[in-house]
Amino acid sequence: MEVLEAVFLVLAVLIMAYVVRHFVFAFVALKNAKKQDGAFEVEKLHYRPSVSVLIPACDEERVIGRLLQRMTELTYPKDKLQIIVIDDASKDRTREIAEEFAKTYAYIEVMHRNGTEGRRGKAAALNAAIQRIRGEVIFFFDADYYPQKDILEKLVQEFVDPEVGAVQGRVTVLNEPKNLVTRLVSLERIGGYRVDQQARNSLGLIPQFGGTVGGVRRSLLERLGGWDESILAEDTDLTFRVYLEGFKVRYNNDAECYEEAVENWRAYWKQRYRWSKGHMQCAFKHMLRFMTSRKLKLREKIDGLLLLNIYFMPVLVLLSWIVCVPLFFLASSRWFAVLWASLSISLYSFVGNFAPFFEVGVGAYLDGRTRAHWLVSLLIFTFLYNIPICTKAFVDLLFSKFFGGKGEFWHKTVHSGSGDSYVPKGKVVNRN
Amino acid sequence: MCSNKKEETVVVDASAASMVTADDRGSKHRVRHLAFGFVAGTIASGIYFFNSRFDEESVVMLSTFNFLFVFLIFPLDGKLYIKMLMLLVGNFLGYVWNRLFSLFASVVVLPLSPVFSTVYLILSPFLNLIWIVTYWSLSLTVFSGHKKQEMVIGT
Repeated sequence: MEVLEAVFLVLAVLIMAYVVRHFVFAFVALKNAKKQDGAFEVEKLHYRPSVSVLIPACDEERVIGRLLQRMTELTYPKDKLQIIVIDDASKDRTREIAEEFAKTYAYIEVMHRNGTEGRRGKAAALNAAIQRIRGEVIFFFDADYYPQKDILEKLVQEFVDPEVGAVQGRVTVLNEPKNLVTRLVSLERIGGYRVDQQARNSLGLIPQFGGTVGGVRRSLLERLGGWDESILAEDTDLTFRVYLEGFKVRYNNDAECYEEAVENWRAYWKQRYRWSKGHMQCAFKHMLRFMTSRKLKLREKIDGLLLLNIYFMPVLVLLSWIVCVPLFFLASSRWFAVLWASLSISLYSFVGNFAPFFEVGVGAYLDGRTRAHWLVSLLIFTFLYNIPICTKAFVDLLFSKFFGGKGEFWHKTVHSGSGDSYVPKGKVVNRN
Repeated sequence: MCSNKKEETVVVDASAASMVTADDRGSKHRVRHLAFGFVAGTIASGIYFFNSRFDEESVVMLSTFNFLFVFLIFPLDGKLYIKMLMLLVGNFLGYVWNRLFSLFASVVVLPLSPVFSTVYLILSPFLNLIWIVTYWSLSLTVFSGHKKQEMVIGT
């Protein structure tokens, strides 16, 4: 009985710690909102190092052309720009489309990987291109992304600070009006970037490098030995390696890029399963080193610890529900009822990118969205869906740790290219 | 050329100064609203806490609502009386919701099997939270109207 109560108490404290953390983020984002408005002027930026843009692509014929067309429209000086498309053994027309662009534009290069050389997956594809990189700073874009024309100028500016090792821009959903799934994913993104990442940046904590719409110093990446191909969340892994090396990650909310979100629950499961399992791998890999590192401040360690373990939270919420059943039968003390009621807030607090409902709401408000709030209540479904996703990822990871796994399989997200209908060049699209 | 430069400098400085003043004013206004809201929310929560008609769960839920609403709605741009009115309406809605919930529990749920009542007891705080999230998010709509903006894709 006492043991169960103690377990429940520990779980409740952990869950509430996350809720409080995110509440602080929401409050800070709201408090600093005025300061960030219009704080960035492209004209003032003069820092223009040579950059290389890596675009890993596997069976992306529906979207690769759109991105490459956009790459040709970037305002960054073309003599300082190198774009490398890494065709990762595509079976469709991805290669042909990329090569057509390469014939026309000298700064676009295409490299091919066949299915037999090395591992599959994004990290392996990126590593394969390292030898060809000429730029001082390396940027990454997934094939389904659609960046602003001046995004590189905005992102590269962060590297003026020699302490900055990597930078992350904002991701906005391009196919938001498609259906309920894309709308809910869009809400997650708003909370995750506009509030969560922004607040962590403002508070000097650990903004996360997302592996796309971001960049890293080439010298740092070489020192780190490239990407870790055994980790499914290679972006989270790089974030922590950057900090362990004594550098920082910065988030730039003005550098916006549009992505094609998953469009059905099956694709959502596959994507989040990969993220959660990869994130858990990072937790096992980095936790001890991170906590004992002398290069990090205390607040960075605390935030890093919470960030590393965030995908365990839906599993712990499930555990707290299981524990509370016998506690109801055995003894329902006064403090237990109060604590249980307080914990209910966790239901809306670990959705998708783990942006709680209040972060999502505040983010939508700061973005000037008027009707997006109406869907916030429905985020309960994405959270409930994340419980089995994260639990399965956790169980699978434990099994592979104890019994040896077959190796991690990269479940690629399929992109339909349907976001095209929302890219009427130069026209105004109302997001509300 | 020189005089033009001087004029330009003066203009820039003046606009910067006015921006600072406006920012300060906005900050003071947010703090003042927050202070009013905090006092109102604390009084409301105190009433629930010391009133024996409310069970523990209702007290926790209504206090959670007040805390969330005050800290995340009152700092927004908008008139104070609208915020106070919405806080009042929210508390009334919460009170009605919780009364209905407890009546439902005593009349329908508890007389049924222990398994069903256990499931209900476990889920009730979560079901109770739904009105908080819904009311809070809909309240945001009232205050975000003026911030409506359009995104230009392709820039």
